[in-house]
Amino acid sequence: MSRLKDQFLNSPVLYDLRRGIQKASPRNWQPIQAVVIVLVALGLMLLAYSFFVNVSLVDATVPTAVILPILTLVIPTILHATFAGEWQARSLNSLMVAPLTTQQLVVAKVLRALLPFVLITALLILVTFGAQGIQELMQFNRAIEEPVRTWRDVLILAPMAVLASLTYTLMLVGVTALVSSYCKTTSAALLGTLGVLIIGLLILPIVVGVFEGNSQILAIAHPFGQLPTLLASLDDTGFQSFVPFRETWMSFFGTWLVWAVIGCGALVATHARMSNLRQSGIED
Amino acid sequence: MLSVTGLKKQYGQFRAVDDVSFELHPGDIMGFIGSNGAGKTTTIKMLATLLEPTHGSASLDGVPLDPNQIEVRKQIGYMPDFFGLYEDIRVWEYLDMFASLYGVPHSERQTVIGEVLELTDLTFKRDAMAQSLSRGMQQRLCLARCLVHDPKLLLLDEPASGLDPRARAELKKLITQLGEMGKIVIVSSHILPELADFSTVVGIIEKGQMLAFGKVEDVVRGLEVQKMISVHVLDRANEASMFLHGKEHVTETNLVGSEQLRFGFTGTPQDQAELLRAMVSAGFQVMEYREETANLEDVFMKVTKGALN
Repeated sequence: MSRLKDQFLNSPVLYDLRRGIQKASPRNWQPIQAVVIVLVALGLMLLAYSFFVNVSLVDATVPTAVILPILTLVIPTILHATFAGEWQARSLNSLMVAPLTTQQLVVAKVLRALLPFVLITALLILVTFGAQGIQELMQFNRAIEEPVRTWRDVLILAPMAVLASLTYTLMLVGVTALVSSYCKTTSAALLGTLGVLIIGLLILPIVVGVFEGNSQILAIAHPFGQLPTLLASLDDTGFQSFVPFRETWMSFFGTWLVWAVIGCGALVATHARMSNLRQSGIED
Repeated sequence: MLSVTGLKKQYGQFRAVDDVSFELHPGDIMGFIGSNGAGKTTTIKMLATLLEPTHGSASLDGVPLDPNQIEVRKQIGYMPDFFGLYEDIRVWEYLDMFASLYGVPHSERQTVIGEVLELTDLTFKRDAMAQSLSRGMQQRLCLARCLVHDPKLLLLDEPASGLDPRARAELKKLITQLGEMGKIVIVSSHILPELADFSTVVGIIEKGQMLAFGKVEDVVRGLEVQKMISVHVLDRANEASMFLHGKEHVTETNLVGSEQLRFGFTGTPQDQAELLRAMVSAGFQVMEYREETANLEDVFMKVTKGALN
């Protein structure tokens, strides 16, 4: 049992995740973390507000629309110091001589993102299923005629929302880790990551949209672009009528696939960067 | 045993380390001496598997010290010349983290942490925040971190830099203890008298080349450093200096004060005794007449030219 525990729970790869959990304690909050926590709280209040004003609005797509911007703030805040912080603290050399492969080193570092992802996704599931449950209850009490979605719709929409959250998180993790591996200070890493995200998520899609004059490109290029498309495709008759919209399905999954590929590519590039540092040495 | 054979590191046309070879055995403490930029840190980083050599190899008990050999790192403790501690971590947490990274089983960690804290005299700071420690304590904590996985080879790059005299003395004692525990220790430093106190082996590097290597006394003897003789007279030190000037085997004379002088001597012990007799016969009241033993600093100054890489 203790061997099993050492292999998994006490695995060296999880050390940073364990530190992340320790650091999550409010007594260790940094000002930037406090700002992000306030923003997350505001997002959740907004979600709660929409829930109480009109419960029928809360299906899997709505929490996703709230959660994706939250992740955009939370992931870079948590991960920007991944490598840059070690460099700044001059502790990177000590870490590089540890008996970990470069893959383990990168995975160990980015696993810290698992914590916010799990918490935020759990919130997404809770809100989605909670809203559906309340609607079912209201229908039972004859307060409404019928829920906006059937359970089957929700059971298909919720994993899609989780998939969206997962692939988007992967992209954020990859980009943040890659930028961090090239920066020697945490402030440069944070600014660099936010700069890349602003260019990639705002400026580039707008420029492409303007020059191409094609809103579809904007929709595909932007992580949130698919949500209105998806909502528009759903009508009152439920999920059945959504199935024939093959193009919508394809562009929806295509978009998230693009983010997953970008995320994996950035992680591979981070690995290459760290391998190169291991061979050529780290300047102090 | 640590075996280093023809180690080279080249950056373009620039050779940071050039054909360095040596062997060390358990219990050896090697003082690694060289000016800034001589190639000490590059050599140590290659041994720590932080840098891939351009040519040559190093092995510990037959296992290559290769950046791709993950397991061999469990046998190495490396303390960089510049190191940092995490801001938000306690002393025991810091050691626990590295014990975890080096695969020390969870059930053994608290015992191991207790032992290394005791060895480095930091038990009373177990729950303190790492960054709140003084520079000397941080240095000891870093050394404790290197010891937490009980390595066979310890690479300490300038461990005494920035320490006050008391912290240096404590560090010297600790390094001596580690040698007695059978570990192979390589210590680089600019402070030569300190290295002389605990090193059993010395390696002098300049422009990436190992100019001298061996047991301290062998290196000193092998280099035939000129004997220096110190004379303390009751008075007339200036006249004594003039008396010695031009005598056979006397190479140079220096007045140290009104009662003391030093001179270089190339003769035999018999010649040395004869010279003392001559001084006394000439009426000089000699209080002290002794041969100064050559130290690492003399050896270093003789071997190196002060050229930077």
